[in-house]
Amino acid sequence: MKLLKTTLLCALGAMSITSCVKQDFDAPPDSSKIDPYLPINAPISAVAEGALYLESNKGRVLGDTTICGIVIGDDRSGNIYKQLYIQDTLGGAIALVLDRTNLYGDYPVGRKVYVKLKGLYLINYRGLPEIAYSIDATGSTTGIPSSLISTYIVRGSFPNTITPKVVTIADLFSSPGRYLNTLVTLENMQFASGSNNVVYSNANSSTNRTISDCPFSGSLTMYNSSYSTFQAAITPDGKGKITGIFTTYYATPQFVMRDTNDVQFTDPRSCP
Amino acid sequence: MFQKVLLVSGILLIASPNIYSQEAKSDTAKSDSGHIDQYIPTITVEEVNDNQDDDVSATGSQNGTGMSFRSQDQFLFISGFVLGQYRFRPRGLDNMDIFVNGIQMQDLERGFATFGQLGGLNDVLRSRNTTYGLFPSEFAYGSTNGTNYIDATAANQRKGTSISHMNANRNFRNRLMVTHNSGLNKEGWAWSVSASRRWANEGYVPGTFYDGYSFYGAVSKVTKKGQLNFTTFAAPTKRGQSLTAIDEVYQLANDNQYNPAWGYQNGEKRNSRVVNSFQPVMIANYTYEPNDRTRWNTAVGYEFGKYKISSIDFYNAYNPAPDYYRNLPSYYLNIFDPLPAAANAVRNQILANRDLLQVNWDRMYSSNANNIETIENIGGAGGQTVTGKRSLYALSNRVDDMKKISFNTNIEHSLSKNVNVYGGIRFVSQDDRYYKEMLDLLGGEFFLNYNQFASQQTISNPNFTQNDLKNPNQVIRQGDKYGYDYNMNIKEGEIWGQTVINTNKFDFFAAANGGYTSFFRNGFMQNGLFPDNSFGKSKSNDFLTYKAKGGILYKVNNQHNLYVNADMSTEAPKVTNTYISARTRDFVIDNATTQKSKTVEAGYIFKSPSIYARITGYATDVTDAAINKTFFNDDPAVISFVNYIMTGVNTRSLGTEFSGALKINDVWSLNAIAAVGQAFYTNRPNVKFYRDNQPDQTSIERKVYIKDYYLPVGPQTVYSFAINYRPKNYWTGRVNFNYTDRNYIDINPDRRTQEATDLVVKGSQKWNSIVAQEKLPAAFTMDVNAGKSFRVNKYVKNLKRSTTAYLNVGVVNVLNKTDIKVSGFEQLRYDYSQRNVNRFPNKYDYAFGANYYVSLSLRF
Repeated sequence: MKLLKTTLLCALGAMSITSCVKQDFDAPPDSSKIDPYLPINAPISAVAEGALYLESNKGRVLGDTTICGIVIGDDRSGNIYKQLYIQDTLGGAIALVLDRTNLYGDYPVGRKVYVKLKGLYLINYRGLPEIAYSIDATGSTTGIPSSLISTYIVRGSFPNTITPKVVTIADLFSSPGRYLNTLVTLENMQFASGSNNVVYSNANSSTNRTISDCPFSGSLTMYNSSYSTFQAAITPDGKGKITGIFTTYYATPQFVMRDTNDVQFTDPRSCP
Repeated sequence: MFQKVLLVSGILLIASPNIYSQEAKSDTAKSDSGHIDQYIPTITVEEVNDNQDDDVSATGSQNGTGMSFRSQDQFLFISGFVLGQYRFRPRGLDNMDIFVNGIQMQDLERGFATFGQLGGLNDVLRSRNTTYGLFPSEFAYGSTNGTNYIDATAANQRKGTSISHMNANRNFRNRLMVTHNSGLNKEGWAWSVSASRRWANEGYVPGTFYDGYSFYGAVSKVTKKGQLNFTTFAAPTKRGQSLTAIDEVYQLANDNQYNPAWGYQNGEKRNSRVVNSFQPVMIANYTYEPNDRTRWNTAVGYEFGKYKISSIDFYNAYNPAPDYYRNLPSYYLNIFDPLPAAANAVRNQILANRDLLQVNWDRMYSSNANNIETIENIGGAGGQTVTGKRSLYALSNRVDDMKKISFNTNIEHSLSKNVNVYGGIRFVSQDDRYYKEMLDLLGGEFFLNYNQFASQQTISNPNFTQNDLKNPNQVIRQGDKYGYDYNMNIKEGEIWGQTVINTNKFDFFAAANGGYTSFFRNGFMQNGLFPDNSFGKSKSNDFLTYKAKGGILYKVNNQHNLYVNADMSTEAPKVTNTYISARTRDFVIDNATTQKSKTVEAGYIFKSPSIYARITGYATDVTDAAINKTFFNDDPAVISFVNYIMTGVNTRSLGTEFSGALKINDVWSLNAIAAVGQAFYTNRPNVKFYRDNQPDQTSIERKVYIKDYYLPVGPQTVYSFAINYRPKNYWTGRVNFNYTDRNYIDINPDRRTQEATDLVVKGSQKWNSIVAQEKLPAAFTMDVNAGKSFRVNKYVKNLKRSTTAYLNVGVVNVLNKTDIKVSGFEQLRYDYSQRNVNRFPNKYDYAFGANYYVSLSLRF
């Protein structure tokens, strides 16, 4: 009996002591303050301007250059798809074409990113400077493959702010190249007659709406994706300021909002 | 005697790891394949192993039916213990009925017993009575392929103490087991306790861990005319699982045991698929034996507890599966305009850093930490507003909280020397509450109770996205229930009777069974898509069933026996095949009906002191089965998760089994088994399917052309040959040679439709790639086992003379074949745009390479 007791005690003791299987996990440190401070070789504007020397829908391979910018447009609302817009503190901006959805998880607006350009293509996509993985003879571009994104795009700190530049429609039309892919704010704007009090986009196809300033000096096309979360929301009737990314589709200037917070039309409508 | 015990303990010791490999690897994410996402194994393997316990079949209850197989027949032992790991299933049928002290262990919803409840208790659950096929059992009517009855009462345990330790490189690395059985004292009391611990920081498969305890306690009081027993056992276990993958990833990983379920977090391997189960069982039974002709057992059982399995949940975020098809090189080869350069770059990157094939926990933590959102109207319009880190990724548990009450009474009575009658009544009520539970917000502060898929499709009605309209925009914190929450209440009852008549030349039996099954759903959330069909009790689904069987055994003489048995039965459909999607709504399939089956088996048995041989032919026809699969359908006319329901499915399983034993002399003996069968679909069932995330429940109808395709029931050709060596000096040795073939993968029925093959030239290579069924390669393997027993008091004089130590060593798959595919399935997602089957290729599971176990036990 003594032997029994001793062995049982020993065995139970052994079970509880020697057999520890660890299952708890420490949370990883907050990475949002980590910045690798990669050496930057060029401002974004130097790269972006190069695209405008290319023929439309052509590209050229890039050399060993690293640029750095802050994400100003992501795909959280779905209005932007498989793309990010980045802008640096000097005001240069460019679009990044990536073959992945839900990019905002890794690269939300405000995230600083470094882009290692070596081997990527600089593309003039219908008048818009873009960086993509490749472009074929027909002008069809390929985004950076999902698995390779982290090789080309290195994450920096979060959050950072880019203050949108306040511009007028006249500014955008007179020197569009200066503002392409940048974050801009237009004041005293409203949805043009016919574009107000309707859904932002039709359910089955992406839809262009028109915004204009008041007093009227010109109009701007606003592109809204049918996949955006605000597709079914109603465009406001009022007047105010609007923030978004200025792009172009061939020669037609285009405005891309990120979500409905960009539209601050809180004053009463004052133009027809 | 010692040799016997030795072999038995060896079998017991090595039995358990096998089963885990089956279990874990069979599991695959629902979103990938649509397979049952909570697959739980049965205890078959261990089951049949114990069937070979010579001691038990000698001391177990008398074999009143005279038709059970004796220990010479190693068919079930080899099927389970040796071939089970290659997924062999005798006759391609589901598992046997299992009773413990009279209580049936099957889970009513899943239809089979969960190993989790019985694991680690090998010492005390070994006393078994097994019948195979349609032969009568004295305890129950039995299922088509047999019945297992385990006597786990304290009074039946062998007196003494045993301590054992096993070391292995399988699902667990170590097992320590301690058991003490008091034996019957003068007052008629006996008690028994057993405890074990199984653990591994990492098992055979990378990223898996094992952390299991088992407890057992039992008391018996034996009186002149009966025996009262109370028995309780439980096996609280946590373990990391592994998932299946496609061959491209196994090759990239350069490891056929590659496991996409884990990834490094702070330098440690963290598994995203963790099973956490604790479902204790309590049984009280009274066996009344007023005379030596009558035995009447009545048992009441109660089981309760939770089975949880974790997985990564994500909302509007990139799929976190490391082997997601868009992350792989082949994605760029299978797109409309292939990009070989991109495919190469992706391949090179993965080969340079194989951690890319594992879960990236840091990325998820970082995404969550940076995602600040403001949620308004929590709990409804005018509700609170919360701003904080909304998790894009979270780890959640799918929980099954079970309560089961069972009652069973069965009687055996000898009317005369030749005539025995049996009968019983059984009633079970099982209540399962299913819900999702937030386990870890991965650095975020909250999650929302939204249905992502509904919100993508039905943007116009904000209610659609709500998982619970009773609590709109609900903020989910750690420990909260979300997603779905409902009860499934199942009641089952049966009454049966049986007569067995033994004469000099013939044994006859006949049995009949009548039963009913009834189940209903009770929802605790009001789903935004189905507000009128999700909350509260559904109507009850009721089914009446019957079974009848009989057989004759003709004893030609002492050596030759011939038999034929037949069975006809109906069975209620499974809950999961009756409800279209019980998680969100109470809709049931049209014309839910019982499944019918007819079985006939006939055999010849030869027995002499040195030779045993059995050859059996069998055929089972099943008609009117229903099968429900959930998956993402890429058909341009659908583009949605669908609940794909086949009804009126007919199958047939027929074949031949051989089992032979040859005793060459007292030292050498041989065993051989063979099973060649065909299990296949015999008709073209109709399909109706429903979009899972739309309020519109109009069905889409199709016909699936699956007639003559094989069922995925493991290898349908197996041969196994064993050489046993038992010299007189307490040594044993055994070598097994095994061959498995004709293992067909699980087909995607939707690929055998007019829609899936539209415009593909019949008979072309592309046509064949879509409709042909893959057969996995044949495999030859070898296992070795050796054991020795010692009388310890020869070395330590002050120990009792009966103190004995047993050493057992084995190597399974000693040729270290690492490329044996044991199962495979076609992904249910199909590339409708290009009809390219390589876009969503087949997934496979590989057998373990060479693996070992060493166990040492001490009995006194």
